[in-house]
Amino acid sequence: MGNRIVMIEDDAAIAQAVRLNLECADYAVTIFDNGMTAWQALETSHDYDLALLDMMLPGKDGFALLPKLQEYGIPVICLTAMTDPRHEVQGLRGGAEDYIAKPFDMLALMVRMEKVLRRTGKLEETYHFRDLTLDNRNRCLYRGGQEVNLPPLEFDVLAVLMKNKNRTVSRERILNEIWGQDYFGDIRTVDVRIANLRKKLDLAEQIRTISKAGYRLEER
Amino acid sequence: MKLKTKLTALCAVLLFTVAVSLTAAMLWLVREQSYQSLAQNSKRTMDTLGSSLFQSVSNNVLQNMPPVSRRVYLTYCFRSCGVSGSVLVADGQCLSASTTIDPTLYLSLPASEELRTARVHANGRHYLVLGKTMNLAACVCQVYLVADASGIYTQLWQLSGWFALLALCIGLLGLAGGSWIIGRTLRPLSDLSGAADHIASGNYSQRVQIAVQDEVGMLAQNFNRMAMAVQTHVDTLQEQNQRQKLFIGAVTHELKTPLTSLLLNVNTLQTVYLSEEKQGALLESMDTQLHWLETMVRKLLTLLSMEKNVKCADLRVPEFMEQVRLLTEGVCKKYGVSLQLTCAAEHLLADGDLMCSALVNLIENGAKASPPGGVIRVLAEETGFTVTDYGCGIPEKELQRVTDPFYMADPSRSKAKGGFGLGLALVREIAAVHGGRLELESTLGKGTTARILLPQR
Repeated sequence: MGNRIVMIEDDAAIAQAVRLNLECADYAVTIFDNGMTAWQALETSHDYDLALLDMMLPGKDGFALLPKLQEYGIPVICLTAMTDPRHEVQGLRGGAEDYIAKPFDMLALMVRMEKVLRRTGKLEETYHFRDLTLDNRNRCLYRGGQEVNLPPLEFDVLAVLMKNKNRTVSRERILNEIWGQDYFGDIRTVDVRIANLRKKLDLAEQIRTISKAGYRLEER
Repeated sequence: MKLKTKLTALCAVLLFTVAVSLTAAMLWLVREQSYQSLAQNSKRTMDTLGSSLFQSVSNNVLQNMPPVSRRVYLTYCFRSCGVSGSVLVADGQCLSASTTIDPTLYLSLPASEELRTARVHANGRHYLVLGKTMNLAACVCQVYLVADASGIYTQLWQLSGWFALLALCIGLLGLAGGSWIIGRTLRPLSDLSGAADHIASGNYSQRVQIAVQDEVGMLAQNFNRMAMAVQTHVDTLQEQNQRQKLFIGAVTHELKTPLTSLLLNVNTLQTVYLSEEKQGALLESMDTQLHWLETMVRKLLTLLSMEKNVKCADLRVPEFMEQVRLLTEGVCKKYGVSLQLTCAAEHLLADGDLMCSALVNLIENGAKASPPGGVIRVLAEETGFTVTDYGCGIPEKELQRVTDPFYMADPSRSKAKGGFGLGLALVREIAAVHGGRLELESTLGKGTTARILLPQR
């Protein structure tokens, strides 16, 4: 199972949408909609890799919860509608790893979460899809327990797809993830690798081409 | 040019004109008097001359003389009188003259024995000429006396010198005094100007201290009044501006949360592969959010555009209360409370729709606060409407703020019950556009009384 995330957010709609997205990416998400219940729950169980914290909460606000989360060594990303720079400074000084203003983009949030997790050494980099297991840290791919060798580029493309399981990723995003922001190569390179992957791993149906958007690894 | 300079110049011109005209008048008077006294003296001399000529001329002798002898005799008699400046003319012939000018050129004498005078300016000198026709026996002769009047003018020149000096002194003194007085009078004006400068640069609390009771003092008083009015207006505007900013901030903040979740949901639907069931749930949640947004925007618009749309008319209270009862039936049933309506007035002047919306809001609030089985009393009277509930009440420190837009005493609970925090703000605004106000009284645990006070006709 992936990283454990605790989300403290009083708006149910936002919490559900974030949970949906994170669960697609194999995160285990726990949600609290009240500062006070979150505080009490954390006292008994605080085994989380990352916290997403809304600052305006009923019960106890985000600023009050920050030290508690710090105490248990849980890195925090603040999510808030308060865009006042003073609040941002207060939040970051209070020990938050990052600060995202609402309305935010889910992709941006996930990239930041990944960064924080990598920084704290807690990023789970083993992805599963059916009988496939990809260990990104050791760059190994297993199919039903047997190691499969792939050329590096194909391995990277597969890693991106598995990391974003059930989520559409554009060709540009795939290239960016592999080579970083400044890559200006031919995006058809991706198409070639995808074709190879489909053939080699029998993923012809699972890797779907989403027109005008990119590719998606679908788990039904 | 500065006002002080202008006034001083005006003052100087006035003083100069007065001094000059006074001097001129004085000089003229002096001249006339001098001439008069000279004329009197000369007349006396003339009379003496006339009588001594009569005495010395023997009529009998004169009558029998041939003309040549008569002229010689007359000349002799005239000269023997010994008056300088005298002229004797007989039969159109000058017999004796001891003057530098010819008086016959300047003075023509009538046949009667009348004394005539003339002022003459000749050869650069002034003269007074007196003349008289005298009948000596059969002989008609004219006697003239020429008096030198140049002395008068010399005296006048001297006098005018002194007058000029005096006028200059008076003028200078007057100028200095006038300038000082004008300066003193105008100083409050420069104070005023300084104060106006301060006010123009934004220091609206500036006032002038002027104790004088004249027009300038009144101007200062009016100026202070104006400054006070400006300050009040600016303060009001700033307060309004501040309130509006806070309001816009609150609106933005309130819009952010539903927008965030909508964006997230759309993004999720676009990119994430979801089961149909999950998709449906997501769409339903989006639908709820959109409706919530729509309602909030509608309420905001009502709040903002109320002033324009208010139409006060005669309100038939019993029918109006019935309408309110019908509109709140659903809410009352939902929260299990009953409504008690009392009409103590038949007619009221109000906008029916707005007032109805205000009462519905108050009753809804009361219903939410009341325990199931509770009662909400609504009283309509001449002074306005009163809505009383016996629910949980509002803490005292929050009573001031509950009418602020988007203020919620307990955000999570209010949102769960579908509130926006706009209800009481709306009621307050409705009371305000009617020219009245909203009064809230509350005891924690005992209930709340809300009064919409209407202005009395």
